[in-house]
Amino acid sequence: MRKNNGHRSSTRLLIAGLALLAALSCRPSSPETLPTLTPLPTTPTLSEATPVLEQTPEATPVSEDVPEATPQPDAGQVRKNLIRATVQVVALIESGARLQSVWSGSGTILSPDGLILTNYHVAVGYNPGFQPDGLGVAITARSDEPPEPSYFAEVVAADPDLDLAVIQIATDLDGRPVDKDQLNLNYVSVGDSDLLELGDLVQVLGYPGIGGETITFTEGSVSGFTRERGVDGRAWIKTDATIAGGNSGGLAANVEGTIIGVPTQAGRGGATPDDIADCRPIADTNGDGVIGDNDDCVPLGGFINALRPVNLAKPLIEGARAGIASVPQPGSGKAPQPSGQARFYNLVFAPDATDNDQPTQIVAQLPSGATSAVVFWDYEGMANGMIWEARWHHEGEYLEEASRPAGPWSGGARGNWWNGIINADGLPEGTYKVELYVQDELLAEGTIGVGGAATDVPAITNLAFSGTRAESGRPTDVGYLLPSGIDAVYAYFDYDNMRDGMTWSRVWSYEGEQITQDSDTWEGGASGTSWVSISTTEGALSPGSYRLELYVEQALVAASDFTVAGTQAQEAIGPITFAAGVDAQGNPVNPGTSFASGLEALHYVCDYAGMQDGMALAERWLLGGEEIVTFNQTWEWGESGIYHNSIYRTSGDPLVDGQYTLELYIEGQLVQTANATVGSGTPLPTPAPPPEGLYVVGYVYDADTGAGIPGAMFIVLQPGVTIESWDFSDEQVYTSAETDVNGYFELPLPLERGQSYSMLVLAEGYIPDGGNGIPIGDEPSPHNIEIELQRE
Amino acid sequence: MIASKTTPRRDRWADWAVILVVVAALGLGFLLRENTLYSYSSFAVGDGDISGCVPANWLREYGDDPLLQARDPRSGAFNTKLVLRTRPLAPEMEPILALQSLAMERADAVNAFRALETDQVAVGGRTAIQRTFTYVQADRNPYLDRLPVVVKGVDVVLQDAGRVILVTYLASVDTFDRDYRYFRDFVESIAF
Repeated sequence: MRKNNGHRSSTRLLIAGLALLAALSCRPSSPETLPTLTPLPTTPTLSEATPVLEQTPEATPVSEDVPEATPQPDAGQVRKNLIRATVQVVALIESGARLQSVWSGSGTILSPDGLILTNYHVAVGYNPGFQPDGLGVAITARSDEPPEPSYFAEVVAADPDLDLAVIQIATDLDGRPVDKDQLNLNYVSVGDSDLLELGDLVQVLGYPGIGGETITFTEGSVSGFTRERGVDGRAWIKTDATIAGGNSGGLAANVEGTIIGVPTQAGRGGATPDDIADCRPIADTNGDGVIGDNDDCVPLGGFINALRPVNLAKPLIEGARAGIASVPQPGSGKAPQPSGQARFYNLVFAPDATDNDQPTQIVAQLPSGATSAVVFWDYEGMANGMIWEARWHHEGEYLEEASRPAGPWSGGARGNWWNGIINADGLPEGTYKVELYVQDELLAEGTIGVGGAATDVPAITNLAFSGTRAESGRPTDVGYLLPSGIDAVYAYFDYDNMRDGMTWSRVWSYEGEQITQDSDTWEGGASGTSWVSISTTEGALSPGSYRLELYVEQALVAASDFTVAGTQAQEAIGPITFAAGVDAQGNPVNPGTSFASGLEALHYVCDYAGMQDGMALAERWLLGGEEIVTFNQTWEWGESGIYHNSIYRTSGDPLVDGQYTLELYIEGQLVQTANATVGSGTPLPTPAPPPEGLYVVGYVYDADTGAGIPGAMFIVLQPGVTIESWDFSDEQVYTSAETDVNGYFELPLPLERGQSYSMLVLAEGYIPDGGNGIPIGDEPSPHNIEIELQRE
Repeated sequence: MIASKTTPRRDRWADWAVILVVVAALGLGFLLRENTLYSYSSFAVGDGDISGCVPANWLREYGDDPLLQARDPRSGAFNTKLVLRTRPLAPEMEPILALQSLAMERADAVNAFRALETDQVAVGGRTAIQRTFTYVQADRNPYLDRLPVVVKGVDVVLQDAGRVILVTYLASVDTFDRDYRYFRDFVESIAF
């Protein structure tokens, strides 16, 4: 019997060959298409993640009875963004070939291209003899790890009086300039600190230590506000949140996740006013090779309970964005020294301060329901940079939430200053005491009571001045800056609760020295308007600072200062002429009010007369109606002449297009204003808010080992493009991301809600995964997903 | 008794047929695999006067400079890239100058750039200059943990009237040799 072994072996061989062929053929079956893909997992494995990427054949119809809900960010997502937007700022000095850290603080990223808000004392410092050579920026990648040193930054705007500064990320750690448009950093929007009310929640983030520590988070409530001269609106926001000193310059945000304040204090505070800031030498600042008492110390400890309202930083921020901000330095050489023994004297109280920093009226008692109390005082022998503070007490108890925290003086050597406490619900009744300290020394104190009904104490209010008077007796050109060359000054005021027969006095002073005093018996009735005057027989009143004090029955009831400057022929500052340049004689070159795009510097020229050295000059620039920078100077150019100045971008780039407005102030009084247009007049748009949509982050894992797959690519195609129709053109790709060594990725662009996308995950050695028409719902953003890939 | 077996002619033909079928099937499968893995798509850039072929399943991005960039999305932490660009060249200038400019431009943008050898090569019947270089690609995104990648690259300069055509191959040093064939096929496919 013959066995047919040949046929069976042939068959087996054929079958084996076909099997081998089939195995070899299990590669991509078509050069242009991908194999059938399994859909992405609809139930992510992370416990906090919720399904969002669902592959449905049809869109889920929306019930007509249920309105579409607007997706609201949850508190966790808001906090995550706040964490990522908080940075550590490290001041560095060059020590030989090394960079040495000398102090650190915190900062907040305000734009994706790396604009950061922090304190002046963090970015620059107040010691002119010790300035950092560089600023390092460490980014918060994860809240449970120390920040990662990532960039170097430059100061682009600063205000030492407010202790605020704006810095801009400039280079990476290799010193290579960064492409700001590609940074795409997490950032927070600037809120409105004026909308805050007592009891509102405040979230504070920052880095309390000198390094090696993780970010800290503190919550508290708004406990009070303070006001002071030189600051328009709220000067300080007080909070009951316990904030360590190193958080200075960091982020204070509201519940919406916008920045509303900057924790600011040089380490003063604590449970009692007697706590002393912890200031230690931590770097070899004098270069003698030893860190010791001969080196400058850095405040490290203490607690912060005060926030600078972010509204005060907005001009700095706008100026930094326009590139025209000023970066004042604390000066060369040693720290400024006072001209003599510092004195605070002539303390008086008023219900409020006028827009010209004068007391509305002078009182010894405030009625029940009073919402503010302001203390005014004269000073001399001071110097900018000296540390001062105002401590308020109520019935003997220290009011931390109302007191002005210790900070650098900015009022110059002599003048008049004020500080106030406010409570929109009414100040609690009782006795208030204010103590004024300079360099920890008590210089002056005063008390005022709050309570009872409004009394019939004589009141004189709205004290204002004029150099001329109409025949009708009405004042003309009332103000607080009068032209020199006049031979008389008329002071107008309203009065109430007066009685005929009362003794009343007028005391006029010039440059702090009394020049005349008169007393009379009142005959003007109980209420009305009246005036007094002073005149000279020596030609004209001299330029300078004057004061009028009014007394009734020997009690001071009103006082106000005014300044005489300019001439009868012209105001102190003449009309502003803008120009593209200025010649050696100070004459304008190519004057005008409209300039072509590409202008590198905008110059202006103006005449001045009747000025006096020592007067305060302020140049306030606005772009598109928004303040971008204010230059404060002390006049030092004599009585008359031609004054010129200019603005330009510190980067050297041309000025941005837009309408520029210049306002000139003398002694706080607006004397001139003018407008000029550069280019089309349409300014560059401010950074747009983060685009709406769903941000997707997550991990790509190996399905067998569970290990993250580095270098995997997550691709999202443009709406309407399917995986099968995709020709691998980059134009058809909406966004994509590559995983890092841990398999983690972040899609850079948000996915539009209500839209459907085709998504694809590719990795070398793995079977691609993905799906078509994946709808995007209204889940909170960012959304975490996990993807497992099978090996080929 | 000695049994002898004699395979009938018919059986022998059947065996040979099976072997042929298997070999043919293996060959067909191999060819199919090769065509699938190394299939190409054509392109035309620069007003259509420069054409060529790139791997079909690579991402392609067109623009003004570079004219074309194709990258393999599956090639790991650093996507293998093929780049095509042109640069003007004065008639009296040598094409090597274009390579020098490109090298300096690249050195300013990347870390640890180092030019290696420069050779003359034959490309599609034309003589071209080829330079090999290396640099380190570092991702500065602080939110992602990415290791720096040592990149090895090749620039080839093809001379045309009034311009040079620069073809660049970039790959991680780990995949440079493996993916080199894509570059070879790409540069030899370029017609202008």
